[in-house]
Amino acid sequence: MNNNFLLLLPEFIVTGLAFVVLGLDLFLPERRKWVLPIVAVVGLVVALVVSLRYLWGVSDSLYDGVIRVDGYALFFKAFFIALGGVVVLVSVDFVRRNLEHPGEYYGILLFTVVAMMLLAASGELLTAYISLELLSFGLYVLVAYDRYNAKSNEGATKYILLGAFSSALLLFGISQVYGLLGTTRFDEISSALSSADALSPGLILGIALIIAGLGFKVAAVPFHMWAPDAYEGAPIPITAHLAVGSKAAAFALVLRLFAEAFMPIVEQWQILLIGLAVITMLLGNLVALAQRNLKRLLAYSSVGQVGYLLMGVAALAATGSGGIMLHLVAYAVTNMAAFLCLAAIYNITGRDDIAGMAGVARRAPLVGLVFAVSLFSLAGLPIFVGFTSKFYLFNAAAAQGLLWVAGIAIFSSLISLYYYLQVVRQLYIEPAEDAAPIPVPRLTLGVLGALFAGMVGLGVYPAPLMEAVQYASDALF
Amino acid sequence: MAMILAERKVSGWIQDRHGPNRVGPWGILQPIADGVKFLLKEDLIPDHVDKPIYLLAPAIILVPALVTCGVVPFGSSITISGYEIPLQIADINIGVLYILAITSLGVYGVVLGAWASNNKYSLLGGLRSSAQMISYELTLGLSLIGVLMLSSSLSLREIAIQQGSYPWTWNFLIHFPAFLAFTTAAFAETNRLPFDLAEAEQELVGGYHTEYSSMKFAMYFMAEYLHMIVGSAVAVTLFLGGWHFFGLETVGGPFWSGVISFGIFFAKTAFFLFVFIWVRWTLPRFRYDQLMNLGWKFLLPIAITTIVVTATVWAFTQSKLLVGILNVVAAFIVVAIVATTLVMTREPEPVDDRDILSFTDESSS
Amino acid sequence: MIIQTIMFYVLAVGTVGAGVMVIASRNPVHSVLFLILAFFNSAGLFVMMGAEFLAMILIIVYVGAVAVLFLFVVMMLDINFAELRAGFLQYLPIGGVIGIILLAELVMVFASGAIEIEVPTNVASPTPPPDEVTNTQALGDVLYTRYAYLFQGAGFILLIAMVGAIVLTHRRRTDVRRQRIADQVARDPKAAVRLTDIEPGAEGTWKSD
Repeated sequence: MNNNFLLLLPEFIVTGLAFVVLGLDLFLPERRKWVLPIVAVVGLVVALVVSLRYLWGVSDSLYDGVIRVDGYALFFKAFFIALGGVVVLVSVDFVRRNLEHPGEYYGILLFTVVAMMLLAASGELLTAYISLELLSFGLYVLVAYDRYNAKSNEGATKYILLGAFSSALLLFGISQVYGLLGTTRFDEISSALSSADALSPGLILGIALIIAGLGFKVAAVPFHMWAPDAYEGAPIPITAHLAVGSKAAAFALVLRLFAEAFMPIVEQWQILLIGLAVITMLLGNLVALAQRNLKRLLAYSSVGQVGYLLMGVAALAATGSGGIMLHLVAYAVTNMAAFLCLAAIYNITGRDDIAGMAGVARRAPLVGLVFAVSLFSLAGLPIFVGFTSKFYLFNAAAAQGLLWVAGIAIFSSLISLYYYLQVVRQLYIEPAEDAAPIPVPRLTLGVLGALFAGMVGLGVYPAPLMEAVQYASDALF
Repeated sequence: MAMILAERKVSGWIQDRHGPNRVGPWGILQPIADGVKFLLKEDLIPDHVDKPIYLLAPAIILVPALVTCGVVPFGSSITISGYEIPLQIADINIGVLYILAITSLGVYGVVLGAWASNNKYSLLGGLRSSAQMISYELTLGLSLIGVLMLSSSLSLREIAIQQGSYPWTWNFLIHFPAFLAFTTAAFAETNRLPFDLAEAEQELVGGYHTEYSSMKFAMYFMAEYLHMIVGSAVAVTLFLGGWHFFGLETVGGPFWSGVISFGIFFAKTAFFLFVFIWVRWTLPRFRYDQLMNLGWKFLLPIAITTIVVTATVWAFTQSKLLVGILNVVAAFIVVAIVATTLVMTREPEPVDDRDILSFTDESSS
Repeated sequence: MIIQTIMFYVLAVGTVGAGVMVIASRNPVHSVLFLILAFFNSAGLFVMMGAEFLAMILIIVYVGAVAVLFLFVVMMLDINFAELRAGFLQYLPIGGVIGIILLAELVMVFASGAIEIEVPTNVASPTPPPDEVTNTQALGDVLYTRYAYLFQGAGFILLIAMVGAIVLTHRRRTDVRRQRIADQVARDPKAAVRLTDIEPGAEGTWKSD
């Protein structure tokens, strides 16, 4: 077994970066701590450049198939590094104002980025499990980071308990699969499944448990109870990270797992996923209607988005993973923009309920504009990236013959439009309680501008993203 | 039993007094008299205790102490009428782990006894003890890893045999810092001075066994001595070459060599026990934060360093001499670093005393 | 063989029974003790499977360290568990129904077809024969080569957990006085002792400066 460790260079860089940040924090005096996010972002940019420069076109594996380095992993690696950079940028102002111990915050954040990268690269169940736990542990800590806030503690407690429970389910499922097939590697599971003439019930149980465990991690509906509380309690940048990063990472695993390992028995799990998808999008969007807190609203809306993505997974066999990956990217850009706007408003006004958004468009026109655009994009209105990706996703489902599911998805999109518009109404029409302008730092404006450009640019001209997604999804099949 | 007498004799000697000298010649029968006294005293069970646990706790502490003796090799092997009998009750291939596992149970006897007594002094003793045991168990386990790496075996007999006959090939030279850390941690595990915060009779009446009387108290007492003996025996086996001493253990026939090896082992253990007693009567008790500092900031880094250094040096040079030297050097460096950081770290400014006293100003003005 | 079977059932029943008692017992300390009993029984099961390394590590880590910390915390808590449990029974019907449904599903799944006991042939990494290699060595052989990443990853998890626990609980208190040995040693009488003449009978003259 010869390992070419250079292939892990991006992971090494980000891990090293996490240690550098943790170590620097020890020696920097309190007033110099602003250096930390800069170091983190610079390091992430280096990692991004390195991974794109050296790993393009590589298809290899390490440790006897435990870690895979291919186009799919590269796509998600680049995606997660960029995402991590954006979360750090979103955090800068928020952490300075609201949280203690910035060093550990950024350090753990970087560890979660490593975990997400490895999750997309894992070619085996145990590796996936360890990476998932690494991600979850980092997030548990980060959710609880606002530790004098009772809501943060409550959210973190629920998240930890249900997270531990879901890990137990997942592990039990993995042990069933290993016990009955004798392997945890995806490709070997696949060949064992296709050569088996009849499926043993234990195996089905194992796969069902794995789906349930992963369902918890992505907050699909019967397993979504932790999400609203954790989202509401977490510091806003971490809410964004939870909503986007952890979900994308879990889907990176789900896609590879189902495409590489469980494809031979697609009939067995397809119906299960369709059921999950339908109740997830309906319930997520319906409950979102009743929310008053914007973070909870975005939480339920993200539950709804998970429904669309699960529908894409159910349609995996015919259309491939392109639509899902596209939607993940679109969803990431859009959600990041929404949360950054929320953070910018919260930093000044201390409000994160919907009524608190009243008149923001007048107090901070740019933030209001980007916020509205991101909500439109989440709802899937044309010319924004959310439309393009939803279009591809629903199209994929329809092509698979799941026309009725796509119909439900469109219906729930309409529901979501209603509550997104509620927020926009607050932003633009309702009078402000306090007309003083909200000062927005230049850095935030810069990031908002970039995300805005992403939302509109990718919505109008999605071709480069499509190519990248195509390249990545080729590696999977 | 002999230990108790020895303890009192030595303590008397160190404190320049006689020690027991009434029962039997030189007080030899004193422990027996004590034992009889314990048996005959009234066995009191206070009525506010959690009875099952209260009764169970002394057994919980005594049994693991006894059971660990089972895997310690007391000598090479002895041949009686053609049968070769190894001087060890059971040579299991994970002996070291077994000892670590079983000694880690000892803390339950203390903690549960303390809790079940339903007495605040006992409970305080129990809490202190559990914190202390946890802290030092880490060091205890980690300091052994260097030894285990080089001997690539977990069997105590195997490790003892590998060390050879001469002191300069014994493990305590190769892993000197680990040896010191292990010994200190073993002291702490026995809950004796200077680590007897759990008992601390000046502060906590009698600590965890305040409410115990008669034979149950005696069981705690015996367990403490057994822990000392086991700790010494394990240290001798792992670090001091077991029953080897300048080839003396091979002198004589199959019978006598066994007897001699046992004698050597016994002598080494006795030396260790003497050190135990010596330390107890020489050093004062640690303060709680000193105890934690020593455990977490000095011993644990030393133990971890020895693992890293041993592994690295062994992987590159395969030279035990270098391992030994570099271990000591590394340990010095680590201690120096820790000590300087401790001194350099600025504690936050303490509350100004004058603020506390300033109420006099207000009354006067 | 019969003895092994008996032992297996004794240990298995012990594990499950102790697990039930963890939840059922009134006193939290007793719960922790039953938990320890459950650990012991499962360690016994490990030994019976020939995994003595795992058994010992289970005892060292869980019984020797984790459970002691549990006990440490539980002993310090002053919780009336009967009170805490008061509203517990009202969830019993719904919990029971879900439990029974799950149980029924499991039974159906397992009863509907024979479970293949035989180890499949396409095992990726064959385990070395137990009588040639001690299982400590066997474990090390794969843990540090093929699964080195998992080992590292687990290390990172622990690191995050540790950093997180410290960050979330540690606070630097400024209202306590600490011993500062250097300062104590550096004290001299001039700075430490102040002599004042106090007029007899004068009020409020004692004034700290």
